[in-house]
Amino acid sequence: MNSTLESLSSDKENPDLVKSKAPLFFNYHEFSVTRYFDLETQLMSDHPQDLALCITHFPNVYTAMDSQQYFETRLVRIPRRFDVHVDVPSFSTQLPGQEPAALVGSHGGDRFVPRGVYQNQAFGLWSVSPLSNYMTSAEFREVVDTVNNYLLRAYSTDSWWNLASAILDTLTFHMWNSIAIRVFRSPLQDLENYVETLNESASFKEKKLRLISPRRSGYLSVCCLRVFPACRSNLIGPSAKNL
Amino acid sequence: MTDNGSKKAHRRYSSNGSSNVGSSIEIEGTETSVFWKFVDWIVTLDTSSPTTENYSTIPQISNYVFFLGGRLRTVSGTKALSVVVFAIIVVPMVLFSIFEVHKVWTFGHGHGALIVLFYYTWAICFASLLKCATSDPGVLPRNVHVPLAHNDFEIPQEYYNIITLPGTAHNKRPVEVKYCTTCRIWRPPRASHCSTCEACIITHDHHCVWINNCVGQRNYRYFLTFLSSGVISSVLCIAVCALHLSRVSRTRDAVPAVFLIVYCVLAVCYPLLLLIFHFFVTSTQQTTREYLRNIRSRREFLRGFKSPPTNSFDTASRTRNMYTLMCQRRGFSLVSARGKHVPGDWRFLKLPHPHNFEKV
Repeated sequence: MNSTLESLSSDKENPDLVKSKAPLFFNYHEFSVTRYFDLETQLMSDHPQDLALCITHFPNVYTAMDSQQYFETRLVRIPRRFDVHVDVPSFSTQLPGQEPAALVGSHGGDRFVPRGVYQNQAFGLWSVSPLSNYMTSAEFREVVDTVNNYLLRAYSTDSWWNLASAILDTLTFHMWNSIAIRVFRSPLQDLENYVETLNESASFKEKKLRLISPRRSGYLSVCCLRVFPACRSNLIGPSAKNL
Repeated sequence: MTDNGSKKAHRRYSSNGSSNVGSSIEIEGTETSVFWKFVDWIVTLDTSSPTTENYSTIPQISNYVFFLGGRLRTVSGTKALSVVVFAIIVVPMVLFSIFEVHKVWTFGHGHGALIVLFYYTWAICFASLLKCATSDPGVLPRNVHVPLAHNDFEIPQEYYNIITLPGTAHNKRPVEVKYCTTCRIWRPPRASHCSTCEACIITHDHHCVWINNCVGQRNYRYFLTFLSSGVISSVLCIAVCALHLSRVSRTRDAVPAVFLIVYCVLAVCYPLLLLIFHFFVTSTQQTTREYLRNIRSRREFLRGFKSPPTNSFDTASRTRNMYTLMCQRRGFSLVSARGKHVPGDWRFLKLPHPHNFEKV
């Protein structure tokens, strides 16, 4: 297996873009593999870099490895981005594949199209994840914006409440925080409630989607969980198309 | 939309020479007696039987040791200098209480207020040290970003790169993100893996040997409060003892006061210098770790503290820089020691030694 992501010295660089050297945002969770079972040729083989599979969904690390759910579900990880707030957890509001530096085909396309099977899972050539087949950009943005707003309220230092809490906490031998967390509602708890409500919604249940609470990931990423059928190299056709 | 190649041109990667450490363990529950469960609750070491309580499992994957069911923590395998620091703080207070308080209180004219103020600031100092040394500095969960579950949890080559992403519009400085191959997470900027604690810490300032804990986002304020209240209480102790000394005709009539003055003058030096350093370093929107990484020579601080031009957190205002670092929000503990987990929780697994594709 080889990496296909290239550095700035790539031959394919656009001169204008390289000149500015401005980094663009992309989903840093994704990576590429070149040896996979090709759905077109029906062969397991090495592929050139431009035909490398883009790994956009990952093992479900929120359930035990020996559980049934682990084998039935996959995660799409939404990364943190830093162009809005650098010191407050804030997640990408763009579906994987729509980021400024996402890997996309020359024909574009906003749907996940499987091209090969790697480790019993179907992947495409581009950054578009299977999540794009179940959520629209607007729906996704609304969910992540809501999550980001809760996190902004919870982690922003720009409030009189934060300053007053810090002073009160110091003056009360750091007992104020212990009291406040029991008396006042934390935006982080509101976020937990929102995630729970969202997962109970008919829309998410119908699509067999779940949003993993960002608290579970230490606010490092937002993970969308979905039941994805596993593919086997000899049975790839129908199951891969179901994605 | 542009093609694959031109998009890749804007993906900023650079080499990251990370070291690979770690070994595989499996966490299994075992039957233990009530007595040993109680002992494990009092002190939870890595030899304790792992249960579904987080505090019983965290020592298996890190160097943390917990007390009283995860309420207090420290780091194992160190010199435990925090005990010395606690003693350094308690000793003068005891001597002050025995030899000074009664005599100075009788002087009247506001001397009592000085004594009350001393005890108040001392209590803040002690509470701050306790919180700073024994609370969660901001430990990040492990294994949240495991990319592959086969071939011994292989890590792809891309994950060994340093990723450069766009920073905020007003700062315009890019942000770098790294993957921790030990904790298997994409660390946010300013987070760092502490090899003493064996954990990644958010907004990692430094690992303090004197408190035997990391100083991070969740206990940085406690650390600064400890330093500042320690300095203030020492100054008050010196003032009260000096007043006592001024009221006696012979110095040998107030030997404890002389001892306390000398003790406090010596003891206040290090926290005072450290506090001044943190005032300057926070005003440049840097953590201690960032400052030490950016400094090019030992004499550089003589030319003044300046924010490096690559600092993507800089707000261009020294006051605002200080405020945003000193008053960081603590948020929830990201791996609560007092929480519970189900068996097989990935956050509490120590995955095998990572290797990249080039080594296969």
